[in-house]
Amino acid sequence: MCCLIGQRHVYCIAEIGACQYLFKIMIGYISRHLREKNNLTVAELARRLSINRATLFRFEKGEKNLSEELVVRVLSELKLKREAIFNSLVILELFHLRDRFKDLGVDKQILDVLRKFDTSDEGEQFMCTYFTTQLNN
Amino acid sequence: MKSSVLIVEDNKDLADFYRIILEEQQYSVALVENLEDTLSHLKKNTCDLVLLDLLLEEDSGKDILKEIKRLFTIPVVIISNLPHERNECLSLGAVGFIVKSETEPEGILEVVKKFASKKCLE
Repeated sequence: MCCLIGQRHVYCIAEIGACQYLFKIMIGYISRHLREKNNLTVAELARRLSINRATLFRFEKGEKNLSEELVVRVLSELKLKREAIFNSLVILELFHLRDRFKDLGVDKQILDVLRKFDTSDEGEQFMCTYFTTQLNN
Repeated sequence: MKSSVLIVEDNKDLADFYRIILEEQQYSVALVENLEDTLSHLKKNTCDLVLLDLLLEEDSGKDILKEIKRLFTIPVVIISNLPHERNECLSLGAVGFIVKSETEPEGILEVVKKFASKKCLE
């Protein structure tokens, strides 16, 4: 397994690559977050991700399928830990249960998982904010 | 001998996640999504543990559990976001019940290690 060791994070490319479905849904939010956080234009982030500007724009609009390789590159920028990736996958499944069964009891489970995110970590804070917004919508 | 785990999960991201963390620990892992493929896999392959989700698109996880217990002696651990199903699943023969929202990847590995190795020791 290929691991990248950052200053504060250890995250595994293979794990991130496993999360195609989750991050296809979120990719527009993540891309905009990365641009705002780093004060980058679309063209600058596209260069950082080694794709062209038009392709990134279409990703943000949800108009293009994502390759696993690109998902990995985008998520590597968030530097999520293994636990955060797992928690994100679980929350997405809980949202699915909530919609399918109209069961608001699931909300407590979602809140319990949200509390597991380390909000002092920038990537996890982002994920937590994203899911909290979805929960309140 | 390397233990083998069959994962019955139709959430592809979660299935891949389990596969990756288990393969990292040297488990041999196979993925299926329904009853037919589960039984077919178990008839043709050695398996030390089944990790079974309850809410599947095509079949009920509880029906799969019942069929596995009827035909095989392989331990089954339920991994689900439905904690209220715990008692029934344990009474149907599951050896463990993991609530996804209450666990961490390490917790899954601990349960798999506990029950997959038990089979190997028998």
